[in-house]
Amino acid sequence: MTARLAPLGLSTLAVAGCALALAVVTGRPELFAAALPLLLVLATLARRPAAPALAISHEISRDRLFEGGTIGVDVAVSTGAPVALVELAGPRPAGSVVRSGTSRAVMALRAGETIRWSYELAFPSRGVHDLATIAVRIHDRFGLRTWERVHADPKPLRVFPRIVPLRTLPRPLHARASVGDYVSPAFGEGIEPGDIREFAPGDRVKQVNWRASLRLGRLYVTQQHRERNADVVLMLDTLAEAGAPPDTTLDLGVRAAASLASAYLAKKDRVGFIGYGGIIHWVKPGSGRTQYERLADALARAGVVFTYVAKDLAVIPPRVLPPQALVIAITPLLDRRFARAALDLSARGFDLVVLVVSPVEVTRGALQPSRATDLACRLWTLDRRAQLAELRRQGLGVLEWYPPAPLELALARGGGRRPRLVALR
Amino acid sequence: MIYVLPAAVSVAAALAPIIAMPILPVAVAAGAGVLLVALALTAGWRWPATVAACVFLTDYAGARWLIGGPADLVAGAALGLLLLLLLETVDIACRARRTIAQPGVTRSTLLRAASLGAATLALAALVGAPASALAAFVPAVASPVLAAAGALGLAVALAAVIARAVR
Repeated sequence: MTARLAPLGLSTLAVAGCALALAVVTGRPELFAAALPLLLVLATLARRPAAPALAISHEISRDRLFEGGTIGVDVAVSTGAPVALVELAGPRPAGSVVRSGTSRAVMALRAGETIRWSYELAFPSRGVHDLATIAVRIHDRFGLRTWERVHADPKPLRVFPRIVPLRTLPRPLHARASVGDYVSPAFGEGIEPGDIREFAPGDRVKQVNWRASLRLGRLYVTQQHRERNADVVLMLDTLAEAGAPPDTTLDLGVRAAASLASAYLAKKDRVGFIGYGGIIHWVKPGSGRTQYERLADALARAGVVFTYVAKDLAVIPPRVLPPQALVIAITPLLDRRFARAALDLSARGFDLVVLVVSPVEVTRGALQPSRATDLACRLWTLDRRAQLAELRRQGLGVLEWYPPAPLELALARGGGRRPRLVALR
Repeated sequence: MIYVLPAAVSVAAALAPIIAMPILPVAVAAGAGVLLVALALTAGWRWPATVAACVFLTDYAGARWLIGGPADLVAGAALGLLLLLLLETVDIACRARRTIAQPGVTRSTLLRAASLGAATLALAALVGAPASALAAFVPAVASPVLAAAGALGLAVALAAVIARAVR
C-alpha cells in the first residue's frame, strides 16, 4: 500500500502560509492564532502511522447474462480500527452503465463496523469481463495523507449476445448419419411415411400396413424416410467493423450468429464456429446446450483484430470445418479478404451461404445527418450492390440483411431458393 | 448534509471579518469568498476553496489592521479552525461527488473539528500567556524581525515535515 500526501495537505499549507505572511505584514497576533490549527494539523504529518486494515468483500448477483441485462454488485467493508475516511471505487467494466446506485462510495468507519453498499450495472453490449477490482483510498485522521491499494477478487462475468427466435433457416444440402430434424429422401428408420411396398423377408411386423394389405390381399409394409441432422459452421468476419457500439456490424453479426446457432442446435444439428480475422479462432461442431455455451462464449469474446496478413483457411482442421457442412459466412463485406476466403470455400465444394450485414444504415446512424452523409451512403449502397452482384455471378448464395430490419426477413428472402437435401453420407 | 456543512462554514468564516469591521468593502470581499466556495462545491474543484480561505484571511487581516486595538487570539484561532474545517469539508464534498456518501462521514468530520478546536484553544491559551509576558521584554524595533523569523522557522519546519511525509 502506498502513502501519498493528499491535495488537502497542500491547501492547508497554502492557507497556513498566507496566515503567517499576513500576520508578519499586518503585525496582528490574531493571524498567528488563525494559523495555529492549520499548523497543528500539518504537524501530524510528522507521525508515520501504519495504514488502517480494511476487510473488503464483494459479490455479483449473476455470472452470465444476455446483452441489455443487469447485475447487482454488493460490496461490504469492515474494519477493526476506526477509519476517518475511505473512498471506494467498485468494479465497473468498460461498456457497462450504472443503472441504480453508484459504483463509488465515501464512508467513515468506526471500530468493528461493517458498511455495505450496492449498485446495479447494465451491460448493453456483449463481452467477457472480470469484476475483480475495487480501488481503495484510505485517508488519515485529517485527510492529509492517503493510502491507496487495489482489492482484487476475481468475479468473471460473461455477457452473451441477444438472440432472436428464427423460424426460417438456410437448409443444409448434405446431412450426417445421426438422427435429426431433416427428412431425407432415402428410406430407413424414421417417423415420416414415405412409400408402400410388398412385404419381404426381414421386414418387421410393426411396419405392416394393414389397411393396404387388407385391400390388396397381400402383405404390404410402409417405408419411412430417414431423419438426419447436419453440420453447420458459422464463419464470422472479424476483419473490420463499422458503426458505433453496441450496434456495430460486428455486434449485429454476432447476434445473428448466436440466433442461428440457437436455432440450428434446437434442430439437433451440430454447430461450429470460426472467427475469421486478425486471429482465427474456432469452436468445433457439436450439439446440445453445452455447445451453445461454448459458442456463446466464443461469440461474446469476438472482436476486431487488425492485420495486414490474409489468413488461409487451410489452417483450419477438417474436424472444425467438415467437408459437407453448411457454412454460413456472416460479414459486412468491408474487407475484400473475407470475400476471397468465401469464394475459396465455395470453390472447394462447401455448401456456402453468405449473410451480408449491410453497414450502410449502421454507419449512417453513427454520423451526423447531412446531405453529404446521405449522398455518400447512397453511393456506397450502389457500390455494394455491384459487389453483391459480382459475388452472385461467381455462384455464391447471398442473403442481404439490412438492419434494423429483422434477421428473419433476410433469411426468409433467401431460404426458399435453396434446394432440398440431396445426399446422404 | 455533505454540501450544507461547507456552505455553512463558509458563511461563518465570512461573518468573522464583517463582525470585526461592518463596512461594505469588507462585506463584498467576504461575499466573494462565499461565491468562491459555491464555485468549488458546484464544479467539484478544490482550488476555489483554498483561494476563498485566503480571501477570508486577507479580509479579516485588513479589518483587524484598520481597527487596531488589542489582539483577539480566540477569534483568530476560531477563524483558523473554521478555515481548516472549510478546506476539509470542501475536500470531502468534492470526493463525494457522484458517490454514495455515508452519513457517518459528516459526523466524524464534525467530531474531529470539535476535538481539534479544543486542542487549538488549549494550545492558544498555553502559548498566549507566556508570549504576552515575553512581549513586554521585546523591544518594539525587534518585534517585526522576530515575528518574521518565527514565521520563517515555522515554514522551514513544516517543509521538513511534509518532505519527510512525502518521501
